[in-house]
Amino acid sequence: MRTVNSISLNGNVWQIESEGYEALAAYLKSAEARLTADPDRDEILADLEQAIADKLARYVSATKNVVTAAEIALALKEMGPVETTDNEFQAHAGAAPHSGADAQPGTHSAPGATASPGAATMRHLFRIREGGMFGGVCNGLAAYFGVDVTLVRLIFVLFAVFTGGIGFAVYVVMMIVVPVAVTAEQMAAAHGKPFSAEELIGRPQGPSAGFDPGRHWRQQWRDQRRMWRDQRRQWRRQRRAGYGFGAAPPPAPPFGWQGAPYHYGPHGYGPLSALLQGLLLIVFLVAIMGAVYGRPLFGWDWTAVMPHWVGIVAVCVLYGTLVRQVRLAGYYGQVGAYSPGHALMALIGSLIWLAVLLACGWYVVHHWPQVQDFLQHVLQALQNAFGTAPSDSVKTSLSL
Amino acid sequence: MAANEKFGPMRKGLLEFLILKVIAADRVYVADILRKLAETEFATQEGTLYPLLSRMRREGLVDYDWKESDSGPPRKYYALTAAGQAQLAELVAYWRLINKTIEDLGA
Repeated sequence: MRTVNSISLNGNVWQIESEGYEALAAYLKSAEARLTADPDRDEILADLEQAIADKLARYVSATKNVVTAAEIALALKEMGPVETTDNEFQAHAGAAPHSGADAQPGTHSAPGATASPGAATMRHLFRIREGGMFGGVCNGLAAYFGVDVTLVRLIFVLFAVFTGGIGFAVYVVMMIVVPVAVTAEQMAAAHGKPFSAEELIGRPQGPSAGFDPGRHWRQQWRDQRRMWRDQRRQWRRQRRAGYGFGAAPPPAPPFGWQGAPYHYGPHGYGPLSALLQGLLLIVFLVAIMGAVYGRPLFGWDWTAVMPHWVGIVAVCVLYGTLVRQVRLAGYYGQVGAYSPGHALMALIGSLIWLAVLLACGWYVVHHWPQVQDFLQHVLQALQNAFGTAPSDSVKTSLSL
Repeated sequence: MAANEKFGPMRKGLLEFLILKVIAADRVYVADILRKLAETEFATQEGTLYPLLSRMRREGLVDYDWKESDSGPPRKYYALTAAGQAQLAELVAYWRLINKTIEDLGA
């Protein structure tokens, strides 16, 4: 009689002798550790699981439904050690110690670019082009804070939308200011000290003892919210204090600014703003009617590119953000009465913002598959963050 | 044959080139790639190939479609993108140049 574990590989159940199970779990675990820095880690792991399952299928039949330890060893030998062939990732994998659970000690030749452990403990902010969507800013931030890149992107996009485009400007500035991680050392520094390795050392071995990114992320989210709240308070205070002082610089528009009562001054931007808003409203009404009925917009057959509801939402969001900008410009224009020049600045700002928006639109249209991919990742990341348990259930049973 | 240890890194660097060539010749499954390479000194295992293919896809060199298979779940069916073809052409040209250089320097 031998103990058998049943495991699920990429969605199918396999009965495996305990010893073989240990070896398989160790193999997958070390694969996961090596791929920590790889943006497609989950996909690769699923591929590997499927490849193993394909090999195991040769060893079972109608009369034999348990895979022996020896057969597992054969399959794993055929699979070979998981190596990231990429130089940047190797630095990371190389810095991770070979946990004792390595399925095939000795067969994995250590990659050439092993970063010295001392150098790897310095954490620097780099842009990481590898696996980035645009300039690799979010990817770099994710590595820097050790959180899921999709969450960083989500926060960035929300930030950009709710601040009426400031987030985009921040992104562009960071693209210019933050250097790209090119060498292996820089890549290691971008990830700081390899937290995955520390997790592996500090944690008792076991399939369930995984790193919980959700907890980490929730902590960050709390801190972020606190920061925003403080900032809003400060804005409010500034606004109260700032009004009516001719010499004081115009207060920054507060976070949720929607339009205080206007006092259109002699500078003339206020009426212009109102006119623009009116025009926008007309365009919006035409566009939303077209979107609802699925008609081409301004000669462009958008229904071929995106689903119906996305078009409607996009029109609403676009209108909302545009109107916001015009209102903000109006606000600055009004304040500009106290210190001329601000109206012009605001106008230029709005124009830059519009250009950024157009660029984003262009990107979305021309990279639609990536955008779709990204949206899917967002959903997945949200599910992960709010504590949906991983699917690989392991239970133990006895067989004769 | 290629037992020399110094050839290891060279083979590793060339692997991507070879994979581009295999995929360029025909749309393939991972198993096909492995089989084709198995007969050469570039014999590769899944553990290396999957991460590499994933990176090449991120770089926009290759892409895959899901294809149903009569045994088991759907498989990824790889093909070169336009960028992949361009890079392959570049690599082939460069390889010829290297060959020529080696010949010209001759011993």
